[in-house]
Amino acid sequence: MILQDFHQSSNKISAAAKKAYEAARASVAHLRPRTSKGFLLEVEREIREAEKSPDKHIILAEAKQISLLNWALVLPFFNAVKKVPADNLILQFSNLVQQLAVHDIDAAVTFLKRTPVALENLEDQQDLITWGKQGLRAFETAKDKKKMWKAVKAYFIEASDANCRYPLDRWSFFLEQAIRIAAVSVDATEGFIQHGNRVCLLLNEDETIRWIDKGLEGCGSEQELINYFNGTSLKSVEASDCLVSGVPLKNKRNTLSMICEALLGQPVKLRSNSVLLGCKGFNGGAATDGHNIFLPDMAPSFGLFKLMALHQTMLLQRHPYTDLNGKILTDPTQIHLDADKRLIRQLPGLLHEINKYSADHHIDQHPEKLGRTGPVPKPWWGDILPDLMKETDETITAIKEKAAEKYENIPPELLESLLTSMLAGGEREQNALWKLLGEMLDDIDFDSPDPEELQESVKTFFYKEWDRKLCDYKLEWCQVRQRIAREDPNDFITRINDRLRGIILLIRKQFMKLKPEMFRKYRAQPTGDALDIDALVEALVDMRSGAPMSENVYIRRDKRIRDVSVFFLVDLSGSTDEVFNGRRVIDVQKEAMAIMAEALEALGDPYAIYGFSSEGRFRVDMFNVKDFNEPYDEKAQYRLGNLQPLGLTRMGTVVRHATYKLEEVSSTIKILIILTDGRPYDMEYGNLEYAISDTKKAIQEARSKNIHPFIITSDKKGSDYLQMISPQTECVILPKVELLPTLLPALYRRLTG
Amino acid sequence: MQNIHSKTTSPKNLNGIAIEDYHITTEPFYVSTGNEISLFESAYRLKMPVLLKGPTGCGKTRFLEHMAWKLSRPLVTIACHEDLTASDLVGRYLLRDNETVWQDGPLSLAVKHGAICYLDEAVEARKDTTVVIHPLTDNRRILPQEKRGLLLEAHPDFLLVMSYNPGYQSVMKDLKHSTRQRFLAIDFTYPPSKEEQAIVMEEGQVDENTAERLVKLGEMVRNLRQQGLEEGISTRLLVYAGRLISDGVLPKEACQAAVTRAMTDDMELQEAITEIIAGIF
Repeated sequence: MILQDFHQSSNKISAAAKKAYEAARASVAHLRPRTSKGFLLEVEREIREAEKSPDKHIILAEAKQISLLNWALVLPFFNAVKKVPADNLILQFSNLVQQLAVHDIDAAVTFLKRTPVALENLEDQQDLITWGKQGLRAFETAKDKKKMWKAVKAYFIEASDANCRYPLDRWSFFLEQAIRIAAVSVDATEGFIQHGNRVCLLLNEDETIRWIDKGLEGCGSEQELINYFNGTSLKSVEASDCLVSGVPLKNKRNTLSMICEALLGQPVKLRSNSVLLGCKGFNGGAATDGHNIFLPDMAPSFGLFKLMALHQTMLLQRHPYTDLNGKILTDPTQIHLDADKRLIRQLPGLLHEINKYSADHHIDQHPEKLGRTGPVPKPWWGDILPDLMKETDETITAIKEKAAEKYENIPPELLESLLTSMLAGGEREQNALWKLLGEMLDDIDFDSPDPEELQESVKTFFYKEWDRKLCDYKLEWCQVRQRIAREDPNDFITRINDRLRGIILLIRKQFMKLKPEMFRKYRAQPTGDALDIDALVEALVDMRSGAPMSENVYIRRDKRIRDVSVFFLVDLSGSTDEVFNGRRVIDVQKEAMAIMAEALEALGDPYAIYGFSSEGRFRVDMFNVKDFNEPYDEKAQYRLGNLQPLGLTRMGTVVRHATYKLEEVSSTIKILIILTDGRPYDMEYGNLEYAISDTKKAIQEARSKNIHPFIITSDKKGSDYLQMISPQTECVILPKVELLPTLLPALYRRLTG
Repeated sequence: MQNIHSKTTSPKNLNGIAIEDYHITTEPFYVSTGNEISLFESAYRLKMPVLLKGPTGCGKTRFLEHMAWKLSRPLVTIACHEDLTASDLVGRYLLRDNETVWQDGPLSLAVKHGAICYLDEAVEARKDTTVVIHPLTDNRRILPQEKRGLLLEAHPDFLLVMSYNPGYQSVMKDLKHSTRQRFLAIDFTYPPSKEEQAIVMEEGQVDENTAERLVKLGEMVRNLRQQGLEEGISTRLLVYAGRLISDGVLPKEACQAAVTRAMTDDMELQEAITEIIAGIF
């Protein structure tokens, strides 16, 4: 019936059209009539339209050829060929379709369907053919042609897409690589073409080849391969980071975050982007969740790192992203371009670097061959993750609302910064975050977990702690309970004084002789380097009036005062109960402190002595033996005698408390001496690395406040971790713990002499 | 250690620091950023002592010079330091031809002639020294010259001004409340960018574009105050950078010298600031 209809009106149509129609009809002969009827109606409409075209002969002839191959190609062909311009191209185009169809119908259909988009986005019409030929070549070069169909199909979509602006020759390289991947997994190849290639944005061709080698060698299962090549597995990003030769993030993080802070006017947290693995749209580049910036662990150069960080800074807290005119932008390329524009407006000097990196970047090596309209992606752009930004904002708002009810007295800024830190740590799930926040805040409400156990005069302090994984402080994390050591009378000091009378006297004498530190001006002196005019006038007046003239008319500048304060921390951890050569470590430490106290009394330097021990982060106990303003009297001596081994060692918090105490002292030179017997260790204090990095941070903080920290340990294995905590000059490892009492005063003399 | 902002004493006159020498004859350049001028004028009319608070190099001294010129009063500046004694302020006896001759200190001079007396960085002076100004700052307005057994009554135009930088918040160097509560305080901060730009242009003798960049640099470096810079970068340093540039030094080098190295010794901070400079110029 259809045929009849066509023939009835066929007087007006050409023989070529008839032939094309016949061929189309033949191609659907095997289909059910209902399906073929709809198809043929469409074909008829297309043929009539093609009749109006100046290229009608060639179109219809080619349509006939294509119909012979597969009916599914026919309508897409008509659709696509309308957009293909000159007749010489149509022939080439049709040939391409036919050759592609020989390998894979699906790929050929995709090629046809994407042709209009490709023509829009490709710069030159001839590139349409290049675009198709590259896909065809992939089939031709592949050994097992069947395995390439998904990859080629993905290529036709990706390479014609407006947002993925690789030049075509780069795609040709990617397709060559895809052939290698196709040998092991069809789906992994597709993933590589769709997303995975972006992981290689910072790699040159050789490095990309090595990255693929690594994936092919290192991945066993199909799923592993897929995740590696679509860029969602950690291994994949790590492998790419290894291959990028250049600067590691961790060496430059501080500098980078300062530059960003200077630009933004508020602190900026920079994190490794490995926590974003698995996020939608993340391909291993720099990214932001709107609050934190995530950077790759390696970049080819510091300059590129800087551009990445600054570029992301421009995207911070801008969701949705609006351009300078207040227009909301959603297209990633537009956002990146606008961010760069903003950046250059603020820092015009960057233009030079932006140009340099654009030129260096391998994608731009042959700008004349680009074959693309619009800009190519820049190596510092990274990924835009609108979903992540939205989600993060929602999570923060939700938790803040929830927290506002439960924790009324916690300032919102503190809450927000806590949340941002946790988000940066990688936790993104709302309930988990809420639970974490609860862990941080709930216990703070209690002044002390078990007040009944403690004496009345407990002061509590909160300190932050450094989390090396988070690369950030956990605020208000540890509670120090400043307690007073027991004051029960004991004969500890008397015994020491009896036993060590000689040594104590000697050390006292030595300390008396210590030279003072600072110049001070003394007026009305008998000798000196300048005249004291007031005193001189007075003396002369006295002389005139007949009284004996005073000789004290000089100003002398003298090293008269020492300006040193020292804070001693004595480790009371359980391990100090251990016995070496018949004496407990704690007893040796106490003896050393007793001698030191005598020496300092002779010298007159203000000093404080605290014992420390901990049991988890809410029970970091500091036992006051003597504070700066307290005398070294009987009470203090009893307290020293009563120090006993207790719990564990949360060193970082202890150092922070000592730093706080020392900050209140006004001396020019402040020394912090820590006597310990082992490595930092406490409940929930992480592994050795965590404890050491926190201690190291605490020591750095102290140093930045003009305090000179000094560690004395009797742990012979100490050299390894002490080196990590502080430079060699700031620590001493005792070969024998018994030496401590004689060594400590000598050391103090050396430190301050 | 010379602590008195003085001209050389002529041999003939032991009281050689003539008050005329303290007059400011040309108008010092000053850009107002708020109500400080009218506030100061009121304080001057009412003879209330004034405390100028603010970070270093933000224009406290310049403001006062400008006000002294505007009110045509001599300005006696005393830079305070640890060894400053009461007699350095009030005066002392000197010997001349077998006689003792009294020489007024700068404070006495100012009190007698109705000058504006400016104690720069008052916290630096020892606390027992600053006490001598107390009777001058309340309704008594007198200065005892104990050694002469005299009470100087302040000239009706005499005004006492101190400057104070709250940035050095050390326990040692804080003003005693018995001192600071005798003053009304005017706060100074770095000028807003537009005003700062005008200042850098005028004082640094640079064009508008360079001044704008320098001010931008200043803002960005000030953002780093949390990162170990004790104070933000002063307008004075920006002016220095501008001067270097107008003298022909390359902008980047000028900023390295006047900003990066002047501000910090910390390597990472220096690197960060260098990058910021590179971004701006």
